[in-house]
Amino acid sequence: MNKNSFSSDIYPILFLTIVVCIAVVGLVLTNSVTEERIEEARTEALKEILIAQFPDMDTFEYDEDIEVYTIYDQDQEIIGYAFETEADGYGGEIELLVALEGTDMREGNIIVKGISVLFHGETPGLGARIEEDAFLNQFEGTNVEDIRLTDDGGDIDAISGATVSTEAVVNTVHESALEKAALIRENMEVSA
Amino acid sequence: MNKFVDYFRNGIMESNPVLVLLLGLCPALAVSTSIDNGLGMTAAVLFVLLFANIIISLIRDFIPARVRIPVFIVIIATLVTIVDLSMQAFLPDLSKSLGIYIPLIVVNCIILGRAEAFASKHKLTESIADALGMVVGFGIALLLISMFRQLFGTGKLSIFGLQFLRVPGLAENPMAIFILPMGAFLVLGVLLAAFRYMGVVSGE
Repeated sequence: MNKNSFSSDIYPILFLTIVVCIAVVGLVLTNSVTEERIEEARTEALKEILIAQFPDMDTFEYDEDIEVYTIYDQDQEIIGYAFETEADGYGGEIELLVALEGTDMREGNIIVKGISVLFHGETPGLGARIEEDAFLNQFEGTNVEDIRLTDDGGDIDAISGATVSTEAVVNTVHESALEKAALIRENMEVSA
Repeated sequence: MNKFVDYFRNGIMESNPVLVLLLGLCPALAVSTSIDNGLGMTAAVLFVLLFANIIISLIRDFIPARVRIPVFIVIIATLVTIVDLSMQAFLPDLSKSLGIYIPLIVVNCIILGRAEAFASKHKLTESIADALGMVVGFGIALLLISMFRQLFGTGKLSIFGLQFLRVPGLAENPMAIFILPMGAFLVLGVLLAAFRYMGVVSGE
């Protein structure tokens, strides 16, 4: 191997390495500037979603073990709970936030305060109508036992032309609310 | 000076990336559901394409031919990540509605295409003119597509929450097909046909 071919082999490697190093420096700088703001923007967005369900909210606490937000009012009294869940919709996952009233979580005493749709990929004009108040308002203050479609003996009217989307939302809210309520109750018993 | 006007014009008319070259169709079709998204995407592409062209034009004499594509991609990917992080930090709503299509600018063929075909062979000022022309061409195409899709798909026209047109009748019963992916293809097809017919753009 003569000197020339060596340098023509090493130069591209060296050049690419330098370019990558500069790129890394640029990204580290950008990250250090934006990291805090992104976290703030996320907390801000989450707070907005929670306040939409709990207008009296002052602070909230997140329990990582059971993945539930506990909502406190100004007197630091628990006014409710909220959690995120996913339903299998027609156009992919539907991300939901379910808010529960701050009851003792005994069976028959689990009340849904309301739900918000955080993200969905449903068909506009059909499944996407799960975002409309006419549908969402039906969940407000409803006992979890009644969160089923009217066809199944529940209190929730389906959206015509959007059976898959509405069934997914209704069944997911029903099941996940029961599941989380049991976990919250377990926690209450442990601390009591 | 005329040369720069030519390079600028080229991106809008003869080599319009979307309407003539049919490049960058993935973002053009996917995010053009509303004017806001179209403008946001154009702004992101403006930043990435302009700086990619500037940097590549400046170092064009030093880039070894054998590793030029990896070098281009590293530069473009870095710029895209900067845009993505900044958008998440300062424009969280826009960032949420553009979603995956911001990171995907990395593989947008307009940007790699201009780096390879233009910036790596031309002077700095010419590369800037080329980038600006391409982005304006891309922006016009996106604006047109998103305008028609929003108009027919929702019956309303608005920019950044400011509604300036509402079609009675259509707003109550919008043609949702235009918001769906097939609506994007429909609008693009009709636009292409109309522009060729009117001679605004020409293929060859």
